[in-house]
Amino acid sequence: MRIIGLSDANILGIHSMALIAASGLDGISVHRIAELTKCSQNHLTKVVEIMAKANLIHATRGPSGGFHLNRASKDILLIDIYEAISGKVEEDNLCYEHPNSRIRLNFFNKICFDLSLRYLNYLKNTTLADIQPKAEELLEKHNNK
Amino acid sequence: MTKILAISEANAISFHAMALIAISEISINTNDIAEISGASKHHTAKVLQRLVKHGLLGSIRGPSGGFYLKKMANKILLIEILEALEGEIKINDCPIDNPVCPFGSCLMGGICSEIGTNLLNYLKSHTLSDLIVNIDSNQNILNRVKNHENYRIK
Repeated sequence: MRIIGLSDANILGIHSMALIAASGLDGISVHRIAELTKCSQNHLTKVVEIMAKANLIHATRGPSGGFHLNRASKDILLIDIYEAISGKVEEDNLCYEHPNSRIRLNFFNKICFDLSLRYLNYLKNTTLADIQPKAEELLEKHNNK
Repeated sequence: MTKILAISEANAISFHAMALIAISEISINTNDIAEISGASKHHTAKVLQRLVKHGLLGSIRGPSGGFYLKKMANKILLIEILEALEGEIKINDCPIDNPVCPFGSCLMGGICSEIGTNLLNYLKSHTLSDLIVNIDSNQNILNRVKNHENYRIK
């Protein structure tokens, strides 16, 4: 099980965007992303729609249609993808706190803060271009099959 | 605004409940725990039942009844509290839960697995005593619990 909430939607969003970046001018369909990542097509469709709504990608229609990036992959940070799906992240609100609780478990908050900050820094300092090569390798491998 | 690290409602209740029971000098009941932790009584009762079933808590019936720790707080690992509700915790290396990464090696450089492992190691190496070292309460709720002054929140 996943003990912490790095949500499926966020992870799928990052993986999908890497494949869209890797597909370049050809574009890539949700069906193909689902095939390559072995993830649910329905879930991916929702995630990709959110990306399009956030103006990170656009779709082209037709038999050879698919999704394309709206700007260069080096100009898209992973935090842009994360925030398109989950909303704005603020560093002073990273602690774990139960919304209605009248006590604060400070000890637990500390570890949640540290780990959240580690993830946040990764998202803020990594561009889509940084993770794109692995997605390109995957596409190339499958195109040669 | 979003939180990066989300913990399930049930797990949040269990950590709060165990902390409250650990600092209380009297046996504390479901209503009190639900009220302080801000959770529903029904959900709190279910979580407490699981903690009793796993031998972490004992319960006393009756009007002055409630829950007590079955072991010393420094003998209860935080992972035991989590696993009482979730079963054995294993970290999957793949953030999209594939048995074998379709990308060959993790697209995200293994960060999800790293964070999960760090949290797991932390829960395995700290006890309930650590959790209750530094609890904040703006309303002196905990002092009332500790001092046993006809404690009941209204």
